[in-house]
Amino acid sequence: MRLRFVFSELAIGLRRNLLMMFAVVIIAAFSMMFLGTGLLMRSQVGITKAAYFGKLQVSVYLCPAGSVDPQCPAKASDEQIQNVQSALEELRPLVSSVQFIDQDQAWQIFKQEFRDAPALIKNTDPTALPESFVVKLSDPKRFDAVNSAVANLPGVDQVQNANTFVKKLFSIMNSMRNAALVACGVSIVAAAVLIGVAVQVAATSRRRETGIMRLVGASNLYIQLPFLLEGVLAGLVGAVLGFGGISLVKTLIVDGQLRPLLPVLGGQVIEWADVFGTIPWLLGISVAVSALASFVTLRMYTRV
Amino acid sequence: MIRFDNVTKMYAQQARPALDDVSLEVEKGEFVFLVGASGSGKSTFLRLVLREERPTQGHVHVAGKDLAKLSSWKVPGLRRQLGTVWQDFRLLPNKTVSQNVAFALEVIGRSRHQIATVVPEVLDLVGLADKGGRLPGELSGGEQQRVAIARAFVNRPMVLLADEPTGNLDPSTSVGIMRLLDRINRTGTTVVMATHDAQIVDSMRRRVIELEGGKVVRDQSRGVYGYSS
Repeated sequence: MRLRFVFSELAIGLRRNLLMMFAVVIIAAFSMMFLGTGLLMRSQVGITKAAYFGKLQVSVYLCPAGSVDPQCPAKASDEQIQNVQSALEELRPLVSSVQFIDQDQAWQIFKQEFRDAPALIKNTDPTALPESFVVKLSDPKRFDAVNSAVANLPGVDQVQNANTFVKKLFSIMNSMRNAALVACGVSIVAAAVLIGVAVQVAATSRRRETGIMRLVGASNLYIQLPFLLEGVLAGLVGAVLGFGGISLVKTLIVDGQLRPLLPVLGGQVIEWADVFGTIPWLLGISVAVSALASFVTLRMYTRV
Repeated sequence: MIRFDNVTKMYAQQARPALDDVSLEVEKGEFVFLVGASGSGKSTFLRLVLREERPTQGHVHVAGKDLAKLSSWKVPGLRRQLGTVWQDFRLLPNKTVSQNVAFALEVIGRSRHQIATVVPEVLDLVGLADKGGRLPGELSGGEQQRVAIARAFVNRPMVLLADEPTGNLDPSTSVGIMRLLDRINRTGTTVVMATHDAQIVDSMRRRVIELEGGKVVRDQSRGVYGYSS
């Protein structure tokens, strides 16, 4: 096999087909970017899930001072707080722990959680934060039992299930991930078709050469390899650009705009290691898809 | 070298077969003219030998191999033993004469060293030793056909198939091409030439196979183009 020949044919082909290859590279880059985004989204869901695991708890918020809520005519009294606490303790063993958070602690937690949003901290009045009970359940699904036991007691503002929030968060993240993967699937199909067309155009424009090659007894490999490489090269460049795209997403969005949302995401976001971890997927899938698309096209259009 | 056993070739959507129960044998080293009107089956004959087509019925043997049993990945190997020349030359316009001939060797993976030795030799044989650097567009028709013959012969095939090689050339140029094919034949290469050129066939006095409507109607050693009719 004379590689020099194959590569010179490849260079000629690329030169002749430059505009087509440009289109192929762009669509391949987009599909690989969607794929990478989907993969990273999946990693983020995993990270967030792990961070929230064990933190699934019920918060029973008590009436703060100056509330306009009709359920809270005044700040919860010590006696009311006592009543709520004993009502919760009665639910053992479903309730595994009950912790009282007073206003000081609430303020500390608030400052800690929103340390990346100083404006929010500055504009918040510490006395507006409600006192609460943080209740851990041995079975997080039986939130209703807690809710019905304390929701209507005097001094209770509202009972909030962190579980509901986490579920909602995950369903949002999952649907974003699915959207990215669907976009990836559609654009991969588009890229495959485009690669097929580009290879077909390349093969047709060089029909004279390939015709001679066939008749002087060049093997199929020799005839098809330059075209196959043309398709694979386009896919490969697309994957590299797609990786550049998700690196940009990591820098500008994950490490930029998403910073203030860090606590919501479980205090942790995807690392560069996760970003680099997508490389084998991007390269593997784009090379496989482009090779397959080129191969199938060549089988259909250049026969021995 | 080439043997047809009861070969019939039907093309899809055509009621009449292109070749109809043809049996014949071409020995090693023979020079054979294939004559007949357009559509008589000459080109189909050549395409079957090249295994560009497969017979509908019967068997084609080339160089001792039954082409029906030849798996498709061995077809390139078969074609390396066959040289082909066409009426329209089929040269690559953006490659020089030398590069056109070298192309046939490059694509079958010959070494650069080998190509550098063989190409000038074969250009010398066809009488174009001093025109290796020219582009096909700068050459006359006869010279272009010599390049095509050089390309077909550079790999020393056992059989040279020529489909109307003089069809685009004037009579005096054609004589030169026929001398060249004759020389190649004398090196032991079997030559099968499809032609309409009565004058050439008559002057060469070689074996003539005449096809009519896909059937062999005449097979004459030292024949002429046609009975004076």
